[in-house]
Amino acid sequence: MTPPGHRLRRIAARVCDRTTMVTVIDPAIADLQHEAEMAQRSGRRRTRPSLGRYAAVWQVVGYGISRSLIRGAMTGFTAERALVRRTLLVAWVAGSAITVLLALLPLLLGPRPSAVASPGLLFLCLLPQAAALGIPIGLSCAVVFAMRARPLAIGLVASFCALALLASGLTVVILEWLVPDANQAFRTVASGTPVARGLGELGLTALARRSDAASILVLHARLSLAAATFTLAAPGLVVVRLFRRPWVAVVAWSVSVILYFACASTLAYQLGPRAPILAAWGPAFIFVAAATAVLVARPRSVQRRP
Amino acid sequence: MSPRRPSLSDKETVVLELLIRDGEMYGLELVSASDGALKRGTVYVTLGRMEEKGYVTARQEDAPLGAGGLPRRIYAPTPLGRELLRAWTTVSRRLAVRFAR
Repeated sequence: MTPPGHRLRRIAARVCDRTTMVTVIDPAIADLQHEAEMAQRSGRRRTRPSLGRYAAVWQVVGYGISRSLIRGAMTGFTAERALVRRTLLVAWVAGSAITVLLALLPLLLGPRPSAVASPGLLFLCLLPQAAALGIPIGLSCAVVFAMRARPLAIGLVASFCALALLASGLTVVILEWLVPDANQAFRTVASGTPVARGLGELGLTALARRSDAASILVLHARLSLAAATFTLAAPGLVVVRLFRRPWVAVVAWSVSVILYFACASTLAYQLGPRAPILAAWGPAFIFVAAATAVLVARPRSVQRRP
Repeated sequence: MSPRRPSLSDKETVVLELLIRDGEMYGLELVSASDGALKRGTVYVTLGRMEEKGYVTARQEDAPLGAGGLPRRIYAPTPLGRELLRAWTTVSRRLAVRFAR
């Protein structure tokens, strides 16, 4: 029988640095195991630690993982400054290209708006909405590009998580303060007459105040879009692990991005009215869980740095 | 940049007081001796931080009780920790008297 906390320690050892393991996590698990051993020796019927004791060790492991990630991000930024800078540059170029493309597509392929509407103005109105999609796609594309043919060092992963957090923050700002007014301006300019605001023209705070299923779906769909850098980077990390050739990795990652958005829109349509939160976050959960399962199953892909 | 001034949080004070009073202790022993002042989920974090600051020193027990178990970590106060607790207690006592006036 494995001693209690054995599996928990294995999980922590994959992420935490050596100092955190030795000074914080191992002592907590050692004491837990000692308690169980003492209970067994004293002939008590219940020898496994209680849920509360496990919860305390989980708390320690949670702290250890977050501390290691923060330390890893700081050392990763310092040690891999050139790579992080290059990633930001690629993210900027890819994000801008995708934003422009997404803002142009409806104008080129969609129905022609009213004659008075200036195409330049309509393009400007579509930019915020396109940027909210372009930022997560661009950054996750840059992460895939940066991580090709590289081991998944924890410092780098933590650095990219920090960048993804920044991207999420920026996307939230755009979704809250730019997209609603830009969408409304687009509708007004395109139709040539004032139009009442719909759900797409409300900010996150305005949506949070409403309780109908449609509003909840739009709110959570936007929040999951803000978190999409993580969601899209997760399959990206798997792709660079599985495919050595860069172009194959890029194609595989692009397919996973298309699959993600297809899955998101299908779930929103099918499940949205009944379970809006599940419909909005379901695809993110499925993608991250699947990617984590592959990464955990191939532990050699993650290399810790002392 | 000026060197960081040593400081003691409430939990660190409790840990040092217990270690000075009772001698070397394990993390869980500290929790049970603290009468609820220290919690299982945070004591190791506090001890790890104190070890980094040089307030306590740690060594591993010689042989763990169970065959497959990890060796426990035993903590003891360092001279710096003792000195800091003494200074901290003196200062807080003096300040408490002043605030009471």
